[in-house]
Amino acid sequence: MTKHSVFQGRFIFYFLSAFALILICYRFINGLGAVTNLTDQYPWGLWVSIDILAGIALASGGFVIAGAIHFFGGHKFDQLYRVSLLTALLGYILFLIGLIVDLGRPWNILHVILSGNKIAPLYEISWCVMFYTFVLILEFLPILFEKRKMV
Amino acid sequence: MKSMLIDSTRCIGCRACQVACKEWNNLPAEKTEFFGGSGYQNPGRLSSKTWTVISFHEAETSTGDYDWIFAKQQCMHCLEPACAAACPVSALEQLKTGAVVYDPGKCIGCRNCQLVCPFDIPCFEWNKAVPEIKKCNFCVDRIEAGMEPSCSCACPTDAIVFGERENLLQKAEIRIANNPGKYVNHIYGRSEVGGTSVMHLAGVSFDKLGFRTNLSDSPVWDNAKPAMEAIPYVMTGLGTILGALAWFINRKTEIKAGKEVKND
Repeated sequence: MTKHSVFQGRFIFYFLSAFALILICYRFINGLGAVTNLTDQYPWGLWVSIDILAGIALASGGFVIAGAIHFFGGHKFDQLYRVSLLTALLGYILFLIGLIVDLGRPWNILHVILSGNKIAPLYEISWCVMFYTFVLILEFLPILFEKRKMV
Repeated sequence: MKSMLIDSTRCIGCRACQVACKEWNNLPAEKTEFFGGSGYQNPGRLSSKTWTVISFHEAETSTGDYDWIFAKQQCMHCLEPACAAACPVSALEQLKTGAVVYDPGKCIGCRNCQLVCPFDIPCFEWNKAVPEIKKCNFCVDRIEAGMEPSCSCACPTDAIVFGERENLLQKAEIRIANNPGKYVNHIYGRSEVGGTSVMHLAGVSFDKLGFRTNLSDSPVWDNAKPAMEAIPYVMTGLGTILGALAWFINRKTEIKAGKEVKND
């Protein structure tokens, strides 16, 4: 690999990320209405679907490849395994960061476990997000540990 | 079940209920604008600071005249509340009295209650760092102390009556039967989305007063029921089938490859 393989336009994304971080700080000081223009009539913004489309869709590839290898013995995909796993983990982390910004009171998220409402569709989705992230981290841990010669 | 019957034909639009609601619940005033809502109503609509609004409507009455007709907007306290069913953390719950109340200690601020409410009632504090969902709580503290809600207490014309649901339904039927032509023959809230604790009577059809008239009689959660009830079976079923398949296929590969794969 040469040094030039890193995307040259990445500074655009650095700039966008810095701008987004400022907006996130502003949102946590002044509330969601200050940055989103959402109202009681439109409580969910378009960004919910974009957030989910980007994060969850990125992750689906990882689950499919890992499933094909672990469950169905598709060892011809072994070379794709780590790449897709990293993409999936990044996708879910992206989604979680989006959720923390989007939820009005994200610090209460443990109540999904403590006082979950088992008939609510969002309860099921919350469990999916937590469970899938947990599985992805578990799958990813060996990659972190092998570099430190722990496995 | 404690309930409230709101008779639009008795309402004179004085908005004493709006003031009483603000006083009892310590709600701050709002900066409003004239004609911010439909006609002369003020504030324009419900908000996190305004839990009930008398809406003003100009409509044709049964006598053929045009008249001001008033309707009260507030939480309907459904018998099977969609907000409580959809809340992932049970922050919205129905009490034994019928009041649907909110606990900010559990709320994660997902605002799903706002999306599912068929009456567009819950409001979110959009401009606060620590926001809450705000809506009418049926003056649950007053009800539990044996009093009636502050709005019905303040109403000078008895347009708002508080009591047991069955008694109020009876009362509403008697009013409709004894005053032919005065009311439309419908008790709004008797069967809408499975019935509500707050019920309305009116002299003109309810769609002219801003009420949704396309609601089904079954609770909102019934739409999610088939999908939600299938989840445990799908999960255990898929888990078992995939697990068995994985064991079978991996065992086959192991045998094919001999002993060296076994240590992998």
